[in-house]
Amino acid sequence: MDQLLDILNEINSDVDYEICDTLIDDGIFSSFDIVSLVGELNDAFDIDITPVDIVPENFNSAEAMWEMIQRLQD
Amino acid sequence: MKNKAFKEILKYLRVVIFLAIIAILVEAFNYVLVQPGYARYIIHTADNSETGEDYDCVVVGASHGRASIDPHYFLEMGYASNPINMCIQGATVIDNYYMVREVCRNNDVKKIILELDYQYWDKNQSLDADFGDLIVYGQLPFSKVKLEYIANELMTKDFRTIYFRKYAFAKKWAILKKYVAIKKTDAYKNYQIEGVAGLDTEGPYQGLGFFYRTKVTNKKGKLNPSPWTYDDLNPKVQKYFEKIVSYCKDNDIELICVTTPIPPSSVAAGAANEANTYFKQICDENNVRYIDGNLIKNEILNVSDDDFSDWEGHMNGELAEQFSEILTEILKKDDCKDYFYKDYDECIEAIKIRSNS
Amino acid sequence: MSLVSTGFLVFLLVGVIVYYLIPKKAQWAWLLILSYAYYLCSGYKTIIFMILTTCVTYSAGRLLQYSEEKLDNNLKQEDLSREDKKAFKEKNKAFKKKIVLAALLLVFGILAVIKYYNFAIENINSIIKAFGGNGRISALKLLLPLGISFYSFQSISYVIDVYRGKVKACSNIFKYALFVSYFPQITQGPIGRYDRLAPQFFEEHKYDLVVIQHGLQRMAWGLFKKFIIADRAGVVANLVFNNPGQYHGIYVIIGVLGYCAQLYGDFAGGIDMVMGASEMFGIQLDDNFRQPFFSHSIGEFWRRWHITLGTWMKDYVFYPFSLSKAMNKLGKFFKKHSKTRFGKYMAKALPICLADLLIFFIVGVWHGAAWKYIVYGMYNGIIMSFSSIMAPVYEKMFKITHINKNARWYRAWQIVRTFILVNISWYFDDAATLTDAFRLMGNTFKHAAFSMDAVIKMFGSEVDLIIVLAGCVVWLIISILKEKGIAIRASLDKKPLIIRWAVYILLVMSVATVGYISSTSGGFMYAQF
Repeated sequence: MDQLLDILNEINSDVDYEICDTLIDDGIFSSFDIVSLVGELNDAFDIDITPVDIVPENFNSAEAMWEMIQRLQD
Repeated sequence: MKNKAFKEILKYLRVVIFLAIIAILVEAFNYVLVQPGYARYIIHTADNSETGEDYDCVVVGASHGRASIDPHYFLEMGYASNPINMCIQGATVIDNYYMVREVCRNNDVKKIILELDYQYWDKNQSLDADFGDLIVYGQLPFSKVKLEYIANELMTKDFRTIYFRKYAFAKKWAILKKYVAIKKTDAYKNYQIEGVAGLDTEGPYQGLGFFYRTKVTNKKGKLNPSPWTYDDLNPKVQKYFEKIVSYCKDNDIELICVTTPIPPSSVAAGAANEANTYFKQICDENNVRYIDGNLIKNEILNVSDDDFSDWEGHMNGELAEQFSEILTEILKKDDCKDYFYKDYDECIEAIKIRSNS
Repeated sequence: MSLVSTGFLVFLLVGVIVYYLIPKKAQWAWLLILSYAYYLCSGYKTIIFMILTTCVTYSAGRLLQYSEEKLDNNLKQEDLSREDKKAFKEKNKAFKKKIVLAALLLVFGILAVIKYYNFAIENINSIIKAFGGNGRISALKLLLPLGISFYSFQSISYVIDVYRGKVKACSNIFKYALFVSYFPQITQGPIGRYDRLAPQFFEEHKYDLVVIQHGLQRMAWGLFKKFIIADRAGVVANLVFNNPGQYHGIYVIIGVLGYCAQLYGDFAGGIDMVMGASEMFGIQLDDNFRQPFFSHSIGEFWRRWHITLGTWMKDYVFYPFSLSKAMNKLGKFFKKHSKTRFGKYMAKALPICLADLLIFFIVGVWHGAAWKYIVYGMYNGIIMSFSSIMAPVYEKMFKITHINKNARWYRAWQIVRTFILVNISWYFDDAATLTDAFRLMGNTFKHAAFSMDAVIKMFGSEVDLIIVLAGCVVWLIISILKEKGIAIRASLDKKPLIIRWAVYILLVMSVATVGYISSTSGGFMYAQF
């Protein structure tokens, strides 16, 4: 989870990822950020995030992302 | 249970009241802004004969007809017992069809004289796509004819054409005040000719739908408009012409088509000749009598360029009276070959001889 | 059938009445009948293309589903080795990819030929002529099927969603046909998604007067935008764009702003009509506009303007392209070979820039088969790419100048800047040709003495100008309220009767008495797509 937070902070350090759960809905993360993020996550966790995974339910909060990562690792 | 039902009824009652308020507001706007026009007068007159007797002979057409055909001659010469000229400026053949339908709704009409003007048969004529054809529709009282008009003509057009009359609204404040002043008069309320705006431009109204146009020295318009050819034929207009023919046939009404004379120079320039020849042809095909005023021999009806206020063919009152008399003569006779030139070649030859001498 | 014609309103009235009278289970079937009837009214000759697209994409969905089910069955077998399992999965994936590819080729192939064949031939002829040849390959006389751009994109989104496992394939071709042909959205969108539309189509809809009233209110608001603002502004836009040599300076700008109002009013107004009509059947379509002129950047603009096209591009082009193996390799290559921090940033940004250029090329081409549309698209794409590339540079500049990018004045400046950039793009959108667009741009910089009378003459009369401006002010107020999250119709419902009715009456009467009447009245612009 810490590794995930590090990656997130590198993209946007102004956000409190413990609290915020509207990263996509509020446009805090742009498409640019998502693409960068996906690339980093794929490399860091050896998973394959596909476009079908890029939905608000998976990316609105750090916790949601972590759940998605764990799912994809199985 | 009762309370619930009552609430439901109340909901729908509110809808009805809302629509009623809209209708009242629309009528109020129409009252203040819509031009008090000639169509309102003539359609009401046709629907409510002043003498109480049905109109038996109706002239239908556009501005040429209104300037050229004086129904008093029909009356005086015994051609009809209660004639009326329903021609309206700018009325199209589609309008003519519905005018025929409307007048026949309330009158036992025996004869229809349809004034044919090639300008309304031109598919290149630029009319306002949706809102330009509503002169007659706007004034039709609510009836089966009006519903037929909506079903046939207005389904593909902007929905505002059905009920809202913005297209006829006054565009300037001064004009608006004039309209309201007219609408307050008894003449307007009683559908009299004095309640019509904008008539002073032509000449005194003579009754029965005929205007005596005052002589004008400076001619307006183009002498040489490009001639109408068969390629310009608007198929929709032809369709409506045929509808008029069928309707008259089905209702035992004698239909006579007339083209009123235009200035001899315009005839010589050839704008209308192919058109009128075409009119002769389709009238013959439909077994309908066709009278081409341009082909009347000059010895019988002396027509000169000075008798018209424009090159297009609005004739002055003086010629109109003469033409109406001759026309009535022709209408009463079955065989009038000696009244006419054989064809346009002969006619133009005669014009040329006249202008040289 | 034009959306503002009497015929359409009668059609809608009858459609709604029957909809709530028939058994609820048959409601979707009635919608299908209505949709095909509507389509046939626009020309029975071209309906075959929509039927073809329906059959192709429906079959693709069924085949994809079948393949998945086969895989599931295969994986359930006992004593399967890991290699066997992998082999089954690979085979399934390969098969599914072939199906999707076939569907894409067929559907977009039809679209490409019908819409772009003549454009391609024109250009090939020009090239041949340039090399001294005859260049006389003849163009085809092709009728453009109604809504082909919209239903093609919508049905492909279904195929891809089934491929991705996001939705289950529809097993009833008639139900699926409704999704493709649904009449409110066939003329100008919005481009819908199966997972949001299907549940609504096939659930039962109970009659509710409030639903009907809300739908009618939305339609009336759409008419307001079209008749009061768009058609009037269009007079000025047409004056300037149809005579590219005649106007200079401020008058060209007025023409462009007029086009802006015309396009926005016509398109958004049309969408309101369409959404209001659909609401009356209890079907909620996706929003296509969200106060686009409050955007702070071109990127944000395309998330607020023609939203469904943007999200389609995002879900089916942008992410697949920028996350593809090829782009991944490209990014890694740059990362490896760049030494500077900027270089490493570019490695990340490059796939996205290329994706943006690709998307906006497609958006441009989607608008029409002409070079000016391609330039229109690329103009937007280049701005997007440029701002991606320059992002770190801007960050640095903010730090150096101590400008707070969240400051109100800066945010306001962003809105103005975006508005200007968007209006520049309209030169390409509305000019007849690319040459005319550049000519107009050149003329914008030529001097022309300002005269209020001349401006009034452009609009027709003083009254017309005042009405457009007043209409825009009303729209601005509504937009601000919506931006703040206020649901207009719902909040009106809560107000006292007098106020509600005053608003509704004003709306209806303004459409009736102030609506512009022109000789080209009737027909929405995006119905050409």
